[in-house]
Amino acid sequence: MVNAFYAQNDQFQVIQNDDISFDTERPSIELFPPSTHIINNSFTVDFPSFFQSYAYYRGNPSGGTECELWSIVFWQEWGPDEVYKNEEYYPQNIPGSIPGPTTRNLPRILLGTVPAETNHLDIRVKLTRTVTPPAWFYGVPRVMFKQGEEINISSGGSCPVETCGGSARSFNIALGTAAVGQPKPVYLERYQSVQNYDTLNAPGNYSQAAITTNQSGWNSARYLAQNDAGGNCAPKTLWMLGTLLDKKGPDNDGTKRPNGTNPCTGTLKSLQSVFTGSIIIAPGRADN
Amino acid sequence: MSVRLYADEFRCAIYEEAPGGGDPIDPTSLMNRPVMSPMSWLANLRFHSDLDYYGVAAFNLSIPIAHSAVAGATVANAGGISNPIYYQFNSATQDQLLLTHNLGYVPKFYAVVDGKMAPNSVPVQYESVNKIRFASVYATTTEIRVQSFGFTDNTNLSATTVTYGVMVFRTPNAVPAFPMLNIEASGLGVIFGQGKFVGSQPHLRVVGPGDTNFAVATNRTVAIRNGGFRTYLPNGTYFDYGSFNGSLAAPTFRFITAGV
Repeated sequence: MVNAFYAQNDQFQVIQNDDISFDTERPSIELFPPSTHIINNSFTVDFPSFFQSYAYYRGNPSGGTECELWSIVFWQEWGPDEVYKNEEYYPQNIPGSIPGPTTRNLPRILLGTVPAETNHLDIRVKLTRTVTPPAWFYGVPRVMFKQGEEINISSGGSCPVETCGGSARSFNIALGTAAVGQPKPVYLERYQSVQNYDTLNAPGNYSQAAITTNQSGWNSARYLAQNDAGGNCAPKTLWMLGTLLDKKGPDNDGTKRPNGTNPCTGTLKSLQSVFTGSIIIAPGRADN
Repeated sequence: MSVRLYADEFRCAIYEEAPGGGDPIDPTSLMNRPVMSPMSWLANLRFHSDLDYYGVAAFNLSIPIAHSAVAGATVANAGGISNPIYYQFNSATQDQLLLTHNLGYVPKFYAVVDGKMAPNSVPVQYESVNKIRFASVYATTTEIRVQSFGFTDNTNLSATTVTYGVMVFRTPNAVPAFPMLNIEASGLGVIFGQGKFVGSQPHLRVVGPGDTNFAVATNRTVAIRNGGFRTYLPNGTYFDYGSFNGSLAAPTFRFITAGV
């Protein structure tokens, strides 16, 4: 086993047990002093609620009638580069709507700045979900990282956060750009998305049933959607079930039709998720 | 310009001298500005005791972990019996030990999966777009552990064994009892900056000839679209989970090693 220190031709090298331990020709990954670190012990990643609409099921089993009122979560994309857009609605469009997902901007959040020479971020995050959305049809959205313990997101800065069937949330810590010699910004970027089921049918891909008159089944076409433009009818890209808002029967009390004497009723629930904890970002340099 | 090694009782630096000349043993001479003002002369530095480094405190690059199968989803629970909507999503987590370090504080670490430096929540098993297992490696004051998240549809996600690796880095505080500079083949060995670098604890560096490479992404590795995920691995391939139908340019990777 060789342990040695070499200094020759502008190169310094430390050999430990035959392996290179230090070499000025293979620069070390450096982390800048603690005064340059971004430390936030109240770090919060807030994912707003998804936009939702309604789906109503009316059944006629042998024991009487039954109903279920669900929220449905339609095709939408949220992120720091998305623009404000509303998808087409059914059976008539609201002004300004165009084909494609409903999109909303989630602005980048400045976490701080790091020295101009930074090209490496060491990012340690400890987060716990402090606002948990209610159970969807597929259950409570699953958190995809270890909560309450320190994880390392230094390789790329990305962190998948939640999934629940056809929905997804993630965040990213991104090193921004700046003029030469100026401190570089570090941003939190948030993304959330819901799948496009691409049908005018009701949940389950059933035909829209005339449940206010003479049919049983699902209907999602006649209920107002929730969005920050006010909503109008239902989005074309139906039908992923969100949360169960009401369930009645089967019994002989009324017809359970939406316009009947004993309907299912309810209001939409927030699907917001909030993660709270701490983040330590140590800037540094590699490839020097 | 020459590369110099400088040490006094306050600091230790290996650096390319700055322009302007002067007395090499005078820390205030122009050539020694990287010693006295390291943050203003970062490009000249090869080591400085004011900076921190990833000194390896413990490692194991071959840790086989057996992950259990995840049962497929079964029940239909919406729409009654005449218009049912089937539940086709299930998940399960497992929490398992990778390495015991007993450092007494939560250390920095890097995880390796199948020889690749792994981003957090890296996919470690992929059977289809709806059947996938992610792994989130985390640190405590005594251990490095992995929590895995298996997702599936109405069929089982198989059991599997994944080979993980871990490098644990000590928090590089200066040790007052250590010298600012020590060079000897035995005893304390090589020490720079009162232990900011210790020869017996190689640290992360960019690769050179003959090194074993690991890759660290320098930008975003995960995208979501249409309710699904795309996640890049350090070898440039990616996994799509769920209904992802977007795009994400391959991130750039920096190749590093730790001489372990």
